[in-house]
Amino acid sequence: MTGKPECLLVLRSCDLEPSRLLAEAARASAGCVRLVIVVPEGSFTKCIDALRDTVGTLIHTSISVWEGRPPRPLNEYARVEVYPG
Amino acid sequence: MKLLDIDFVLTVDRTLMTDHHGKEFIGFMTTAPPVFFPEKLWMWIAAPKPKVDEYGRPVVAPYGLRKVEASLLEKGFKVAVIDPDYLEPYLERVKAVMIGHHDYFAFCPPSSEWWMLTGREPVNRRYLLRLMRLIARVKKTRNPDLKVIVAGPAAWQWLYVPDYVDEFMVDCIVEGESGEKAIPWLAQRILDGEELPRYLYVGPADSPSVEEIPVIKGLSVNGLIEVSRGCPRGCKFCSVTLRPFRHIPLDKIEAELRLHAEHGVHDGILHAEDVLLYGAVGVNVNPDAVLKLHALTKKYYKSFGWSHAALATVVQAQRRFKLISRLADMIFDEHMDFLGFQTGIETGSPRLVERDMRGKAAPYTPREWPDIVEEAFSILHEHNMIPAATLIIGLPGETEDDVYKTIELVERLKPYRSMIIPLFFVPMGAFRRKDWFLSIQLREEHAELLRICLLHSIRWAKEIIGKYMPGLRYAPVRWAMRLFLAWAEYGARRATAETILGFVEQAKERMARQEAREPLVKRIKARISGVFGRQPVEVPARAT
Repeated sequence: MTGKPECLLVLRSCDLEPSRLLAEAARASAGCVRLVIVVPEGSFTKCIDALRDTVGTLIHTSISVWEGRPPRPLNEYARVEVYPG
Repeated sequence: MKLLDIDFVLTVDRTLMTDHHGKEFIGFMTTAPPVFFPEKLWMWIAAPKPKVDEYGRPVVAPYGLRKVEASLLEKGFKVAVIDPDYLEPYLERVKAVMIGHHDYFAFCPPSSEWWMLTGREPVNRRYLLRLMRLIARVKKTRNPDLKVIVAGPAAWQWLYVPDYVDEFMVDCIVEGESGEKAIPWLAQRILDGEELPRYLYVGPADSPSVEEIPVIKGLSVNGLIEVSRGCPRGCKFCSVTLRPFRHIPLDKIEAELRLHAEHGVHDGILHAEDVLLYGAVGVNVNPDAVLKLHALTKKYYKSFGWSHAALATVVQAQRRFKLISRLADMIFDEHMDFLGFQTGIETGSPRLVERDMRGKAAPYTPREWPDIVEEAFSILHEHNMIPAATLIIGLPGETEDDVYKTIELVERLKPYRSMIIPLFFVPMGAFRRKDWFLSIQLREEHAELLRICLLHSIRWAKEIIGKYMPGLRYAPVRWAMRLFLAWAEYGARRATAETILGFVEQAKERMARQEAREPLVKRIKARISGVFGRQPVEVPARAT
């Protein structure tokens, strides 16, 4: 699951509209075949409502959602976005 | 029972870990609540326990689990498919349990439809919830390091039930084609003690190539073997169309056929979104490839069916190549005198075909769709091939006229041996609400469509059942099915559109009452738990 352009979107909070998250994720993943989303530790199920539209819409991009921190160092991603920045 | 030294178990609840008495179509009963019969008898008919070996490994298992098992075994992981009745001792010692399902919470049709029509929870959901409670209980009390991974074509449903993700302590939800690459990647991370993503969607760029798809190592339920993956038709309501369209090479198919034949399995199912497009580029039939596939299959299987085929392909294959006749000549003999498969009519309205599923009619035009459907049914009837066809009712923007066009089409299909099953379109967003069933608004014309489809299907089922379940072996199941059909026919003949609508409203009220009651039950159980210092034994299932 490595070797293809991967982008990172770090969410400081999931307290955002699903449409807003979708827009951020679409922007963050442009040019990448994979998008890694990081949500705050222990908040995955709280984030599901916001995430659902994103993962259901960006169907041509592989997406993984992690809690707390990304699986690899930041410098290994083609692009890193933080929301809210 | 002896236990295997393994790190990973693959499993699923009883409604899928079964051979349905060797008759795949009976499996549809697991998508409904028990009707007329008590649950135990219903399950005996629909999902009998399969044979298992001394380690609790079922002799046959769902094909998807077999693919994941093969993939993990080839990469050196210690893994086995374990029957749910033998799961508990494994849960105490393995590193992860992986579950694959095609309808976890009964949100897919037809489960959601039976649920809504009866107001009662389908058995597939009941058994899945029992399995998940067992896993969560063992994880909580005896193996806190156990990782719980849920995958398969219905993994998306977990995103609509975050409470269950917490309650059942699910570590990772995996969507997309995950068996060949993503699951082994997760397994390695588990062995290495690394964090897992909470969610993983495998996009088309990460789909496995044909070379990466392994040959299964154990028998699949009812000898099912995959021959193609993906679909080129691009219908708006279908996710399979996102997958690259690939055909499994004949040598791999033969290896799986041989595996089954060597273990005494001589009846099976060829699986593809459209078996008649085997070897095709786009929607253009490749007759040589289809004939070779069937000749190969017939070498190992005395009888077999197709999982799916498209009606437009049936017409194209027969008009251009007389392929249906050639196939019938090739495969029918003293062991096999009919062939069944699933297909989609979806609608009789060319307007809706044009809007949502242009590719479904290809290479013909949406305008021709009703004629294509009837021609296909006629070809199939003549050649003893029996379609179980679905309709989708309640598509967004559907008008009364669209439904009447579908009714007209079903009336035209009366003379042809077939089953026709209308399915409700449930917008995915509806599942966010606990009372999603209230969002389904049936109109009088829908009820009329339900009624004529039921009568059509019962009429032909009575004939088909003798062909489908012949001989003494199936006598008890056949008898139970005939009894059920007689009961259903009695009701259907007396039903009107008005009484069906009344019935649905009653079901909705029943479901709404269950919803309202549940929080109280949960509160009482929580109180008892607090007083006596232990966890509630069981939380009743709920609509989500």
